[in-house]
Parts: sequence; structure tokens; C-alpha cells
Amino acid sequence: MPLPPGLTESDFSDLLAEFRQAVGSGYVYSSDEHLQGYRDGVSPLYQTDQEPVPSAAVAPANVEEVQQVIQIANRYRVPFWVNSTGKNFGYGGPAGVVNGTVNLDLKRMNRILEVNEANAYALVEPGVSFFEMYRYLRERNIKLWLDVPSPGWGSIIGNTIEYGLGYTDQGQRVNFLCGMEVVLPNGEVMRTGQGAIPGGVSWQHYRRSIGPRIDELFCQTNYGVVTKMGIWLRPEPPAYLACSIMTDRNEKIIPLIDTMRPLRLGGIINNNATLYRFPFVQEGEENPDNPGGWNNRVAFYGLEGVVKQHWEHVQDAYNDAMPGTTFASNLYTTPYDLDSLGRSPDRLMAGIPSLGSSLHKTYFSMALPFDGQAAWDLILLLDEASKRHGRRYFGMAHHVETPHEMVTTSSALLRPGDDEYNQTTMRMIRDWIVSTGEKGLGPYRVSTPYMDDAMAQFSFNNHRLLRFYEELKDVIDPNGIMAPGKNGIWPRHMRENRA
Amino acid sequence: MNRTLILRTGLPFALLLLANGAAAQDELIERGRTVYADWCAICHAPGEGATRILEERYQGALPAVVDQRTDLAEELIVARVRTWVAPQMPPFRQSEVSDADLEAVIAYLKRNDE
Repeated sequence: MPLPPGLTESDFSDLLAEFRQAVGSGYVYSSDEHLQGYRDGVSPLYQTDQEPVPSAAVAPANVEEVQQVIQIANRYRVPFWVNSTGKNFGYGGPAGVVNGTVNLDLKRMNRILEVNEANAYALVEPGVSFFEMYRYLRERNIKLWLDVPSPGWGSIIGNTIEYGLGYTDQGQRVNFLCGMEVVLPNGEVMRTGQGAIPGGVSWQHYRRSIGPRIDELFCQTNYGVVTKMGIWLRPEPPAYLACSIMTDRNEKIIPLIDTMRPLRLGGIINNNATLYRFPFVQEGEENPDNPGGWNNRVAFYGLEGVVKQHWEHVQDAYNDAMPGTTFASNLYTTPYDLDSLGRSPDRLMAGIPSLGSSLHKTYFSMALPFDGQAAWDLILLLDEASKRHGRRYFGMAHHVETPHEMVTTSSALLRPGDDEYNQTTMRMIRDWIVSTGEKGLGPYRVSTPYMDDAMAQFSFNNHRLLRFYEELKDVIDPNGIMAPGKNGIWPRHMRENRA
Repeated sequence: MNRTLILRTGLPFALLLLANGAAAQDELIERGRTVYADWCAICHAPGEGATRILEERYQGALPAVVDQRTDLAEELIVARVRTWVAPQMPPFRQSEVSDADLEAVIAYLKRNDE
């Protein structure tokens, strides 16, 4: 494994000894075998000479140990990358951008510190996964539902601060985080919002302090290590109605979205309603006679009579706009037997975590206006780029996070060990990023190899936004050690590394 | 088992040690069952993603549910848990599944080996 940038073998040995002193010898890893799990096997760069490989990993058990590790890293000027559970596959997994980075592994910090059923919130550490929280709630018969992404092995904190999405009416989960504890890159601990008051009793109730709310400074950035986070949950609804609205043609995405918009704006549809191609078409399995239509997954939560009435209204709206649309629904009421949902797609909109997404895809996700034509134009643009590169993309889904916008997740297949294939896939994704940027569209989230390309699209007034981010970086992290290159934000001494 | 110890202490104590050994092994298997449920079953339980992939691969020649297998070598289990298996299975780090957890999972997966 490589040495951290700028360190000799002897320095590195001293560094590891200090880490062992801080967290215990069993929780510092530097052998090839132990570092396998800190590499991104789903990266197009995996096992190439461009792969950023960690030099070591260190797994603290509590916030005091995180502070010590960061103080040591400052003394040695060693860059570190943070992972909470390291399952962010397709977007970079646990691995960093710079070769030789030390991986700060927070999985051992896996305590659910509080669940308040009356006020519907939880306070968690970064190692807590969606599966673990779900089990905790069910085993104690706590009648709260959790919003989950489709792979449930990720960290609640990690996924939320990467702007991960769920499928319920709390699907834009970052808007439901309430209060953070952060270890800053100089090793100091800070609490945000009401947590800044010693003994602040409203930390998980009220999201601001006096002055600006700064929690999102720690989302998709490299300004601090989030060691605690409050997350609002939702009370178990008396009824849950899971619905599908199905079309038979690709182009029908335009009226499908435009019909949904007033329903979403008007509060009839409230969940992160997802549109995806059905059936999924895998590379090499395209059938021109059955290109597939769009399936819109919608959920209603509330009183049984009300959710049924809303669903009838929604069906009427789609029938008026799109005769021939087909519908399906399943009604669930209290007392719920959530296990009975089995592998049903209904379980995601009920906040039941699962796995099932296949690995070995690299993701590229966009933010879009809530507009059918915008979605269709994006499909045509991505199609055109994929034809230029001879690579089929698939898995494109539109997530209607809020009444005002959608994000789309697209992915392209990788082939383990086939460098030429993977390089072409990367060129296609870079082409997508530039082509969409020229149309005024920006990424919502990208994998580590494309972070500089993505940030480069936000270039108004000579990249003023990025320069602002980096001015903050230089103040908050003067030694430039935390997650260099994260989303294109580089410390001063590494800016020549920018792709 | 230490033969000298058996000779010195007599058979009852030796049987007690054997019984303790069996109890310890049972305890290890039970711990492995819990670790398997927490970490492996999310993908390897009946109907889950890895099971469906293995069903397709084995076509009935082997059980697709991993904890129904009776032929898994210890080395294979360690390799699957600790290294990338492209294209589907990521490794699990020591901070997730410790070496002691892994030892328990091995005992659990080999509990029915012939």
C-alpha cells in the first residue's frame, strides 16, 4: 500500500504508533489484507495504476478518539478521508480521491443515543445503519417509521449528509436532520443549532441557533467530521396506500410528470414519488418491440378514508390527461404486519430497508426542474452521448424530492478488470457532465472520479462559488488534511491536483 | 486435549472439559448465527439478492442460501468476507465483522458439515 503524501517510511511508522496509542492497537489497519475493505471495488479505476489506495485506516470508538486522530493527522499533515459505513458504492464507496489518504472509519461509533417516540426523532452516531435503526424500532415496538434509501446497509448520517434520498414523505431526508455534533479539522468539537447551548434541550426540536443554520456546510463537503446527528422520523400512519401509475411508452414521461406536478404542489402527493422505466432494460437486452414505459410509484399516508380519496383524485387526474394509463395499489392499515411486505416494492415507501441494487455500476445524478419536457430532453441528451461512446446506460430514475424539482439517477455498467471498457464508460460520463452543463443543468451527486468535472460546471463569474468554498476550506482546515478533492474542493497546497 | 492432564485428574474432569468444549463450540455457533443474521442475511436470506444470483448460477446443484451449505471451506469463507468478489460482493472490514465475529460465522456455516 502507498505511503501518505510527503511522509517517509519512518514518519509513517511513527504516525501509526500514535494512532494505536489513541484508539488501541486493534483498530489501526495497514496491511494489504485489512485495507481491502477500504478500497472502492466498484470504481472504474479499481486495480488500475490510477486507483487512489489508502495507506492505512483507523477506527475510533468515540468522539474523543476522533479528536485525537485528527490532532495527530494535523501534526503529520496527513490527509484523511472519512467513511461512516463505507457502503456508498457507485458514488465512491469508502475510498478517497488522493492516493495514500488515511481512512477514518466511523463504523465503531454505532450507538443509537436516543429515540424520542413522542416527538418523533432520533439522535445517532455515524456508524448506525438504516438496517440497525429499523431493527431497533421494530424490536422495541416503537411506532415510528424511518425514511431509507434503497440499499439499507449505509449510514443514516453518511447517506443523509451526502444528500441521499428515500421514498417516503421524508424522502429529501436532509430536510429532516436536526442538530449536529462535528469535529472540525483542527480537532475541536462543535454542536450546531440549539446544541450550541450547554445542555440545550431543543437540539433535536429546533434546527437553528441565532444566525445562519450551518448544518449543510457539512453536507457533500470536507469541513468537518459529523459525529452525532438528530433525525426526525415519522409517526406510524393509520393507513399506508402504495400505488403504481403505469404507462406503456417511453415518451409518456412528459405528461406523466406534468400531470403529477400540480398534485405534488397541491399536497395531494407528498412522498418522494419515483419514476422509473419498466421493465428495466439491461445492456445488450434491448427489445425494440417493447422499449418499456414509465412506472410512477406514489404513496399516501394518513387516515384510510383520506388516502383512498386522494388516490381516486390522482387516478382521475391521470385518466383525464393520459387515457389508457393503468393503476395498481395496495392498502395497509394498523396494526401493520410489515414483515408481510416481503420483497414487495411497497416496502421502500414504508421505510423498510433492503438490499438488492446490483453493484458494479458507476453513478451520475442530475438535478432538474419538475418538468416533463426537461426530463425528456435529458433522456435524449444522455441517449445521444451514450451512442457516441457505444455504452448503454440504464437504471435511470426520476425522484420527485420536492414539489419543485426532481433528481435523476443514471448509471453505467463497469466490467471488472476490463480497463478499456471502463475508461470508455468514464469518458461517457464526463461527456454527460459537460453536455448537461452546457444546457444549464448540474449534477446532484457524482462518484469520486468525476468530482472535479462536476464542480467545474458551476462556473458562473469565474467559478466564484468554488472559490468561496475553497476560501472557507483554507480557514476551517488550514493544514488541508480533511478529504482533499471531495466534490472538487481542494486545500491550497493540493490545488494543482485538480483534474 | 492435554493427555497428561487427563491422566492426572482422572476421567470425570476430562469429560467435564469435553463437555465444556462442546458448550463453547455451541456458544460460538450461536454467536455466528447472530453475526450471520446481522451481516450476511440481508443479502443471503431466502429471496434476497445474492440468493437469487446463486439460484441462477447453481440451477439446483447446490443450495443457493449460504447457511444451508455443508461444503464451505474455511479459506473460502474468509476470502469472501475479506476481499472483493467482483462484481457483486464487497469485503467487510474489521470494524464491521471482527476476526472474532468471522471465526463465529465460520463455526456457524460449518455446523452441519459432514
